[in-house]
Amino acid sequence: MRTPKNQSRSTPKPLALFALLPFLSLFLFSCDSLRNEVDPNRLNKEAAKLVVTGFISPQDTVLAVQVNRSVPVLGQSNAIRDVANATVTIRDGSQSVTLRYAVNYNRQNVNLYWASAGSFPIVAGKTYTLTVETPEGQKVTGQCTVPARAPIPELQLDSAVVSRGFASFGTISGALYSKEYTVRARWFDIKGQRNYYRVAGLFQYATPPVNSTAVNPVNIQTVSFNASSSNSGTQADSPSTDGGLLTSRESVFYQPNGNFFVPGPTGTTATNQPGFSQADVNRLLQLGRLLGFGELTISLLHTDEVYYRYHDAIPRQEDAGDNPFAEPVQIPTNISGGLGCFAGYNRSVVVVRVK
Amino acid sequence: MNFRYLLWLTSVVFTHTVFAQTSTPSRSATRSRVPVATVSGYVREAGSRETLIGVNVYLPGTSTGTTTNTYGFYSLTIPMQDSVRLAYSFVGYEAILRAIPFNGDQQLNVILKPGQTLAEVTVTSNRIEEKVSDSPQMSQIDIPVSQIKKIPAFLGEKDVLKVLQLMPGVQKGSEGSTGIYVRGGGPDQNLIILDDAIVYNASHLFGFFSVFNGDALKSVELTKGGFPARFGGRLSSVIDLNMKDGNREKLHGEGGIGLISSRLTLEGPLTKNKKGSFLVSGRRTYLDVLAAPLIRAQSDGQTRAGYYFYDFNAKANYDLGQKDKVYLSGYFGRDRFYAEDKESGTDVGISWGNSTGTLRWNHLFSQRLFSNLSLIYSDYKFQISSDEKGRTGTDLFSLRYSSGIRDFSLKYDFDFYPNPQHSLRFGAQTIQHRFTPSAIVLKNAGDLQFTRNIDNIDVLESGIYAEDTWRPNPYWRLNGGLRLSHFIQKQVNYLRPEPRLSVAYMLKPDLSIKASYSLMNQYVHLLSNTGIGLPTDLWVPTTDRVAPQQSEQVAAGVAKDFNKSGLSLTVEGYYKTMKNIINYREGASFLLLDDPTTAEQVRWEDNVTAGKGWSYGAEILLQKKAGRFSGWAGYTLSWTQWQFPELNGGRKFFPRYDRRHDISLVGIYELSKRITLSGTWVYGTGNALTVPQAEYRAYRHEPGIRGFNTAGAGAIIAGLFDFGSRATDYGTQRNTFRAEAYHRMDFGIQFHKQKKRHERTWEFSFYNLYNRRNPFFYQIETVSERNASGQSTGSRTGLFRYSVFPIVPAFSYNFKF
Repeated sequence: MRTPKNQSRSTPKPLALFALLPFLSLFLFSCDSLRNEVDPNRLNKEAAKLVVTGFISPQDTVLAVQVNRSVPVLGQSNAIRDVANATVTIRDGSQSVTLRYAVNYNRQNVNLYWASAGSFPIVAGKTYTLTVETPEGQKVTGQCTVPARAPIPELQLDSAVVSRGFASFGTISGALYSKEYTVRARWFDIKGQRNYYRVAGLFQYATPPVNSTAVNPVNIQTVSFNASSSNSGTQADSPSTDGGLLTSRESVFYQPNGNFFVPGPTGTTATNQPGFSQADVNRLLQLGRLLGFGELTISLLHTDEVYYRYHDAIPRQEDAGDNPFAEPVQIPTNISGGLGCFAGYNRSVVVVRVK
Repeated sequence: MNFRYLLWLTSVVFTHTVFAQTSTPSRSATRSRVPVATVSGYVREAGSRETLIGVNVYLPGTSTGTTTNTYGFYSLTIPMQDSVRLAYSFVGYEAILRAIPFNGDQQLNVILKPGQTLAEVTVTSNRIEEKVSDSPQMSQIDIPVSQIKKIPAFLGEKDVLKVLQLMPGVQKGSEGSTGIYVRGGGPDQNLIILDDAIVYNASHLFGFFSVFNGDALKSVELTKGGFPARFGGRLSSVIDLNMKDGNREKLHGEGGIGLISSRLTLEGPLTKNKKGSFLVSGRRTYLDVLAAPLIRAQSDGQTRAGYYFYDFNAKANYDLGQKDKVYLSGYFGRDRFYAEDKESGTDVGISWGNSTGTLRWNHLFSQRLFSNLSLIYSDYKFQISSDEKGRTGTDLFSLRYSSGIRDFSLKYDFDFYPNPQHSLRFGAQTIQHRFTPSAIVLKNAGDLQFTRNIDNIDVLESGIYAEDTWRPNPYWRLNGGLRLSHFIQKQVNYLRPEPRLSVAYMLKPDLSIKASYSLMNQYVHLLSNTGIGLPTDLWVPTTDRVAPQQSEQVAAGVAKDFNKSGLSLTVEGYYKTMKNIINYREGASFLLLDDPTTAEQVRWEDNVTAGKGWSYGAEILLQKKAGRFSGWAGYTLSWTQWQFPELNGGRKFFPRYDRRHDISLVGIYELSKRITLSGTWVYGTGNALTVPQAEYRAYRHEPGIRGFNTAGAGAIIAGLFDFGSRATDYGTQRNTFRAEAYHRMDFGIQFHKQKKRHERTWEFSFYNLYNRRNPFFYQIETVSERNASGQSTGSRTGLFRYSVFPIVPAFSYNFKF
């Protein structure tokens, strides 16, 4: 099935490429000697740096730092390995904490250094220094100051029943309908300084059991404020409107999000789905009962500048990919002598019940 | 806007002008009783009666003189006397001397014969040709079109812009491209005008050829600094091209058959009374025609695909009387790529091109006051169409995308020659631009129909100017002027003064030192991150979020003419600052076209970032425009630096086309009447590039859950990381990798033969004679490695340099009748 979005998204790129191909192929690939390898020693000068990442905030219960090591782009094997034997310390001027290494921390598929925040609370306005040292003598440091508490955002939540494409089961076919929720966060910028924010959301819901024997757990779904993949929900204030009202991008999410049906607008027919009895369907179709429980959690993060620039750059580098015409994206770092990011943020949370 | 500054400048310029006029009688008190008279007229070429631009008209043995303007007109006001001797000289033509009785205003039209290059004229007169040392203008390049036709060209396609790239201070972008970089400025900062009309995209075939057909051109002039006030609107250069008027005497033709294109030009008198003439010139490539049967055969007749470009120039002029002439000229060119496949039902087309039209009216208010009124149209369009049909012929899918710019412009210029000390020019121009950043129409059978138009943007760009070329005494030459530029788009409104000054001081009759200052504003911007002149390059206006670009340039140098050898030498140093220049943000690419249908409309301003630039350097040019052996040698030493808050962490860096050394040698030698040899050699420091240095895992903060959804409340762990994507480390500084130096030699040989009715020329040429593998782009690639017995030993990643053109031989057949 072809959705208009997919179609139109993918068309122009191959089109332009298609146009270039005959000429590129004519000029470039007909003659292999027009391709020559460059001495790898002209590159590979920046490899084997320590890559250190950590984000700290007063709300967190765990301090976590990830350490890996960069590898040359050129050469035979370039698997990126985590660094397991480093000494990782966070200092705030008066006291310090050394983080422990954990393989596959909390079954999260990530190896990291951690410490409980209970013994080393993170306080807004304080400056923290992160030091990572290896037995081989490599040492890198990063520094950040934790920003002030983020303002409490106000949410604008709307919902509507919308058509979400088209499906067919056996001989029956019809339109799919869902309830579409749109949410935006609004808040007043903190006055007197440049501010950087990030909006993130979660939707937790439980549907009533499909039949008497089934158990429906609470489901959690990310509510993304990313208009496209090219941002992380990060947002900077505008220097010209200091203290002004800021509005996040719009987040759109759907319920049900799978092969469920809700009644369409008057005059449309809902379709039976195989495997369900008419009674099930009738029950599911009761929109009011569809969500046994629905809760939207929106976080507003007040971040420091390097947090913003780091998160802004990574998706842009991914998007640019191998496009030789795109401007290369350098990912900013505040780790002196290494790569990565050590940044502070401060979180405010709003929770609302959703019907 | 500082109005007091503006007022001051305006008053300086105008009091200077008024003073100049009123002072003439008082200063010449001794000759106050000497009445003056004016001699004026047109200078034309023998045979064709084509008017000649830049012909020197002077009183031999004095410094009194003038030059013909763009329409071949001159005017000289001097004290009356019994008789006067006037000399007319122009490079490549035989100089002539006319003695006329001079007791009143005179009209004197003059015909100059093209010179014989083989019989070198020994120059005895002190002042025979237009000399670089004699003009206050500096940083200006003009190349005779006849010389351009002798310089070897890629695939035999003579290209004006590529010849300009061989001049010091002017660089090409990538291999084979017509993009021009002048003194650290980008291709967006060049004002390219053809018969007063702005040409917005001067390239064919993705930048490999320029849109200008040399057969239709009369003159080409590039100004890279010390801009006269009559030009404005771009930061870095003005490339002023004039089309030929057409032969007034009889019908002539000229043409050529080359490897990729053929061209034909016809010119002749418009009417029997020879008061007018016309010229039409066309060129088309035929790669598509030759390839069509091949493609059809390969696809069993299912596929039809190809590419072609053509361009068409036309011009007509007519003398309405002694005082009035009208000119109508136009250019129309298109590139088109098409692919149609019956099997899949797809039909794809991409086309782009410029069209320009100019209607001009020359009017002589008096012998001293010449005027030209131009009504100008210019248009650039880029279009994509893509259709898919089902087996039954039903429309499945249809997409239309277009972008472009369209101008209507009115320009009124005056040339006033009050006396030999002053030549004034003043005038006004207003351009109404209409930008179409992108318009999309998408139709999808059985699904959503959808149309999106980013509204057309209408803006008005205007300028008024006054300039005076002043020769107060035999030592000083000045050109001072002021341009007041104005731009308005909705709430955005700019009024900016642009002072200009060029000064020359003659140390000796053939040696002068020069200095200049100019301030330029640019209100339109080109979004292009390739610099090679792709059709997707998009012109956009200044808006509330993107400020106009501005540059200031000072230059100083010496100019020396060697009369015996006909050589001229210029040495110049320049320093230029640029403000609010724009570049794509990191990661941004082909704009708007990339993703035309995202739910959220992306304003193009979000994808660009503004910064500052500096460029400075020195240029040496030794040039010989005519004679048996002609050509030039040029050397440029330059630095260009950029600083953008959003690029490279806000630190200064060298942009891609920063080039430390640039050398070009061009030689043309007339071996005999029948054989012309030519050769060029160029050398340039490699481009500054950013290439991947290392790779690492960049973990992002995950403020919610990892992944899209999960079940079970226990899965929420905030404050941790995402899965850590593989990221590239481009090093601590942008553009620290230098590409290998570029150098290349071209060689051409022409065999001329006069036949009964026509003259034919066979031309053979070699591009990249010694087959240098010059870098075009670099790419990281993973290759699999094999041992001696052919077994795979794993893979290896390497950096590869791609070159485009090895040695490329070409030949063409040209004729003239």
